[in-house]
Amino acid sequence: MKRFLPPGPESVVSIGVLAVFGLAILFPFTLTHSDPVTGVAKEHLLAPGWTHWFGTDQLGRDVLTRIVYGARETLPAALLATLTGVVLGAFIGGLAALSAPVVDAALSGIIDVLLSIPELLLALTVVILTGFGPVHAAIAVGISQTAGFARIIRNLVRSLRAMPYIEAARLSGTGFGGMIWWHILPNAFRPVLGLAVLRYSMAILSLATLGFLGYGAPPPTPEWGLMIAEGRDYLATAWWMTTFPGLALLTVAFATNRLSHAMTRTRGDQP
Amino acid sequence: MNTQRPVLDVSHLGISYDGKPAVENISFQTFPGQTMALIGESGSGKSTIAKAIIQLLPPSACVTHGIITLNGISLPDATPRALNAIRGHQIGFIPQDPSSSLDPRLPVGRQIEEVLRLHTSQRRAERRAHVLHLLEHVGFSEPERRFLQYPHELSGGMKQRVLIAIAVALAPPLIIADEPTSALDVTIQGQILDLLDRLREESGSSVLMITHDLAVARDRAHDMIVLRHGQIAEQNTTRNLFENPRSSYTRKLLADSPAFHSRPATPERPVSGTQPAIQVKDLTIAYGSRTAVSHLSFDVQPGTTHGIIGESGSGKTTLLRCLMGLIPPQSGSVHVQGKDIFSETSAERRQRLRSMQLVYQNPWSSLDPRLTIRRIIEEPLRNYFPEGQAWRQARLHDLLERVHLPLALLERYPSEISGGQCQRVALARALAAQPDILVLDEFVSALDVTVQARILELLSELQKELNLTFVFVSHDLAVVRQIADTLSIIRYGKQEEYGDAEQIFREPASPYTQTLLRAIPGQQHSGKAKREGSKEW
Amino acid sequence: MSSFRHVCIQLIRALLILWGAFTVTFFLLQMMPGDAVMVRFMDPELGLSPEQIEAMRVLYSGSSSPVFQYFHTILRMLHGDFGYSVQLGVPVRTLIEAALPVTLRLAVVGFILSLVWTLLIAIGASLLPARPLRQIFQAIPGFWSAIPLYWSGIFIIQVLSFKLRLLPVVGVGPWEGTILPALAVSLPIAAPQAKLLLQQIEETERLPFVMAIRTKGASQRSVFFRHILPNSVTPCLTMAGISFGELIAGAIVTETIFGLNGLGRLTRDAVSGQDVAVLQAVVMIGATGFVAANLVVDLLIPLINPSLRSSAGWKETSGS
Repeated sequence: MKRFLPPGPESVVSIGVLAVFGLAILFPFTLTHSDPVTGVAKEHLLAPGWTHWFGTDQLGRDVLTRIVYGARETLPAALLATLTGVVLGAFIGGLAALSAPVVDAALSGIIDVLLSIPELLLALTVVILTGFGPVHAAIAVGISQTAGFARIIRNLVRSLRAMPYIEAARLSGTGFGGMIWWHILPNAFRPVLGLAVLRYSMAILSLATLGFLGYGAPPPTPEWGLMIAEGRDYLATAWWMTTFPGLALLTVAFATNRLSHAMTRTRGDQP
Repeated sequence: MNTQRPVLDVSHLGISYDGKPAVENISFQTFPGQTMALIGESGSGKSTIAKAIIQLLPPSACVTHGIITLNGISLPDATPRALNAIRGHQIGFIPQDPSSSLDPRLPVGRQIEEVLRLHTSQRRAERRAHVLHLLEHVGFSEPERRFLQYPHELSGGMKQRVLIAIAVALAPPLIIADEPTSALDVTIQGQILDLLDRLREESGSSVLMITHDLAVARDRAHDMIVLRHGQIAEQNTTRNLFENPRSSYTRKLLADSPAFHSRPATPERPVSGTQPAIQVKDLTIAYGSRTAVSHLSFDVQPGTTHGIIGESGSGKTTLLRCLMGLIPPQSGSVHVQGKDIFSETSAERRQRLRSMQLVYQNPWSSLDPRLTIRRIIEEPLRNYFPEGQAWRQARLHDLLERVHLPLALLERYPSEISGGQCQRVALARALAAQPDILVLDEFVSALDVTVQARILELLSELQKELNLTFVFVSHDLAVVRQIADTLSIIRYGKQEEYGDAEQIFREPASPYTQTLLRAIPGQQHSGKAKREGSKEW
Repeated sequence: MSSFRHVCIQLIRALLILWGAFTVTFFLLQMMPGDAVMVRFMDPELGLSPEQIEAMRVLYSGSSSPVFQYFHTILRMLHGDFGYSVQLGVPVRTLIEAALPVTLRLAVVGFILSLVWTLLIAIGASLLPARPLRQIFQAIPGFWSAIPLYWSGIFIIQVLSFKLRLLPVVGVGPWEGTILPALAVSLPIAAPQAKLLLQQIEETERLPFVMAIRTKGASQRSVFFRHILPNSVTPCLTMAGISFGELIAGAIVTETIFGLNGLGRLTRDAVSGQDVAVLQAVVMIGATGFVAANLVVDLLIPLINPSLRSSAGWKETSGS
C-alpha cells in the first residue's frame, strides 16, 4: 500500500477527511441521532445553533443529519460511475493502443466523437435514454467519462509500448500476453489509479449536478445536490440550507483532488 | 605564484544540498587570458561550483561557508538586482546542452540581442548591427539569414556557436563553460573549442571550463583542478598533472581514460577460415522516404568484436535494429550463423533472438522500473528454458557472479542502483539467454570513465570465457579502439572504411577517418601549457 | 505537407467528428423508451382521439423507420431545420434563435473571465515574492475544480447581490445580467486551464534554456513573461478549446440558478419533457462549439510555436 499512498501531510489530511465520510457511509448513526427523512414540523428553518449545528430545513429536518446520510447517496454512486468509466475506458483505450493501426484509428475516431460532446450533455442524453434515478445517473456519468479515460489510457499504453524496456523484454522471449501482464499493466497501474481518483472527485460533482437538476434520486432523499436545489427557494432567509451541503461536496471533492495530486506527484519523483 | 590580480577568487567554498554537504573546502583563482579546468565524474560537485559562482543554485542548495569574489566584488553578498547586472555582463555562461539551451520560440538573433538589451543602452539598430557582428565573429557566414532563424533550424554545433556569441557579447572578464562540447560530435567539438580559445585570447577573458573529459582539458586548460566527492583531489598545472600526477585518484583517472591508451595487446584471435558469425552484404535500409543506410557490407568472425563508429545521424542505430531483424532492409542481406534472418521461420527467429542479444544505451530506460532485479534477469530464463525454480536460482547466482554484482541487489528496483550496476544487470539479462552474439548500442557512453573502464574490462573477460561475438556501436573512437578487432566507420549511412581496427587507426585510408582521428581530444600533449609557456604555481 | 493541406485535413476531420456526434446522439435518442409524442398527447385532459394522435405522430416524424429518419434529419439539419419541439409545438429553430444569444453572451464573457483568472493564477503562483503566497496560488486550481458550479452561483448571488447589494440579479439589461452568471461559470472552467498552465510552467522552468537565460542577467519577471509563459501556453490553448464546449454544458446549471432563458434552460426543459429534437439540436450546438474552438486552436498553435511551423510536429500537440 505504501507504494500507492505516499506519506506527507497532504495525503494524511486527505485520507483523514475521506475516512470521516467513509464512516458516514457505513455507520451514519454514529455521527447523528436524528432521522434524515422525517422532521419536526415546529422546528423548521432554524438557524445553526447548539441543538442543530447546521440548522434545519423547511420541514424541520436537521441539515447535518441529512448531510451525513447524503454521503451514502452520492459517494458510492460516484464510485460506480468512475468504475464504469475506468473499465470501459481502459478496455477501449487499451484495445486501441495494442491493436493494429486500422483498429486504433477507428477507435480513436470514436473517442474523438464522444469527446466532442460536452460531458454533461452526454450524461443528460444517456439519462433521457435510461430514465431518471440514482443508479441511472451514475451510469450516465460513467459513460460520459469513458472517452476521456480511453484517450489518456491509449496514449499512456502507447508511450509505454515505445519504452526500450518493452523491446528488451520482447527480445528476452516474452510474448504479447507476458508483455501486457508483466510490463504494461504494472507500469500503467499507478498513473491510471491517480487519474481515477481525480475523476472520482469530478464524478461526485457531476452526480450532484444531476441531482441538483432533478434527474437523480427523487425527494425526500437526502442527496446533496437535491438539498441545494431545495434550499434555493429559501436563499434569502435560510443560507445554511444551501451552504452546508455545498461545503460537504467541496470538502470531499477537494480532499480527493489533493489525494490524486499527491499520488501523481510522487510518481514524477522517480527516475 | 601568479603576479596578476585574479579575476575570480574562490576560497574555502562549501555547499550543501538539504543539509548534506556536496562541496567542501574549495579554493582556487582564475586569471585573465587563462583557462582553468574543473574536472570530475558525475556527482563530483563540479556543476554545483559553477552554479554557485553565478549564484543560480537551486533552492535546496545552500552555501555554508566560503568566499566568492569577482574582481573584488563578493558575489554571495550582492543584491538580486546587482547580480542580474553581473550575469551576462561580467560573467558569460556557456551551458552544457546546446540543443535545449535556446528558447525554441525566438529567432536566435533576438536571443543574442537580449543580452545587449539587458546590459547596454544601445538602440535597436545598434544592437542589430552588434549581433550581426557577433554572429560573424563566431563563424557564421550569412549573419543576416542566421539572425532570423529559429533554434530548430540550426545544428547542434551552430547552436553552441550562438550560445558562445551570447556569452562573449559583452567581453566579460569571466567565462564559465559548463561541459561546452560533451553533447557534440567529435569533429564539431574541436571547432567549438578552437573558437572558444580564439575568443579568450582576443578578449583576455578568464575561462573556467567544467568538464568530465580529461583529454579535452589536457588540450585546452592551463591549470586543472580534479574534484572527487566534492573535494579537491589535485590542483596542478596541466603539464604537471599529466606528467607527474600527485594524487592516486588522478592516476586512476588517467589510467582509465581510453583516450590515453591504445588497445591492450591481445593474443591473435581465430579469424578467417571459419564461418562468419554475422555477414552483412550490400545492405540498404530505407527509413520512411529517405535512405538511412546504403550498400553496407561487413563480416564478423566468431569470438571477435566488430566496432561500428558513426557520429549522430550516421544511421548506426537503424543499422543495428536491422541486424536484430527488427526492421526489414530495402535490399541486401544479413546472415547470422550462415542463415538469412529475413527468410526464417518463426521458430528459427525465436532461436536466433535467443542466441543474439541486444544491450541498450540508457542504463535505466531499458530496465522495467516496476520489476526487481531478480525478475528482470529471470525473464529470459523463464522464457527460453523449461527448467524449474532451483535451476533458475542457480543460474541467477552464476550470472550475478559473472557480472560481479552482489546477491543483495536481487530484491532492489532499477531506480535504487547506480548506472554502472544497471549496465551490469542488462548484461546479466542478455547472458541469461546463453547467446553467442551480443549487440551493444553505445553501451558505455552514459557512464563515467572509471565505471566505463570496469565495464570494458568485464566485456573482454566475458568474451574470453564464453567465446562471445560482439558488435559494438559507438560514437567514441577512443572507447572502440580499446575493444574492437575489426571496424566499420559510417557517415550519412555510407561505409567510409572497413577492416582491421589497428590497421585503420594506424593508417586511415579515407579522409573522413583521418579527420575523425585527428579530432580525438588529448593529442595536443600538454596543450596550452606547452604552447604558451606555463605560469608556475 | 503544406499548411493549406493541413487546414483542409483539419476541416474534414472536424466535419467527420460532427457527423459522428450527430450519429451517436441520434441513435441514442431514438432508442428512447416511451414515445415522446404519446407521452404528451395521451394526456386525457387534451381529449384527442387516437386518429388525431396518429396524425401528430406522423407530423413529428415519429413513425417512419429509424434509417429513413436518420437521413431525413441530416438533410433537414443541413438546411437549418431542426424539426419541431414535441413539448412546445414550435420549431426548434425558433427556440434556439431566442436562446442562443443569451448563452453565447454567457459563454464568451465566462470564457474571457476564465482566461483572466488563469493568467492571474499563473502570475501569482510564479512571481509573488513570498513562498507561502505562491503556494496558496498553486492550490487555487485544485480548490476551484472542487467547487460545485451551482453552489458557487448561489453563493455569488447571496454575497454579491443579497448581502453587499453590488449587482442586482433581476431586472437588468442583457450585459449587466451576464456578469454574475459569467463569474460563476468562469471559476470551474478556469480551474483545469490554470492547473495545466501551472504544470507547464513548472516543466518549462526545469528546461535548460531557462537557466541559460538567467545566466544572461535577466530578472525573474523578465524571464517569466518573455520566455517561460510563451513556452507554456500551447497545451493550455488546446485545453481552452475543450473548455469552450464545456461552457455550453455549464450554462444548463448557471441559467437555472440565475433565471436566464438560454440554451441551458431549453436543455433542462427538453430533458424533463424528453423532447428529443431540442436535445439533439443542443448537443449539436455544443459539439459544433467544441469542434470549432479546437479547429481555431489547432490553426493558432503553429503561429505561436515556430518549431511546429514545419508541420512535422503538428500532430503531437493536438493529442492528449
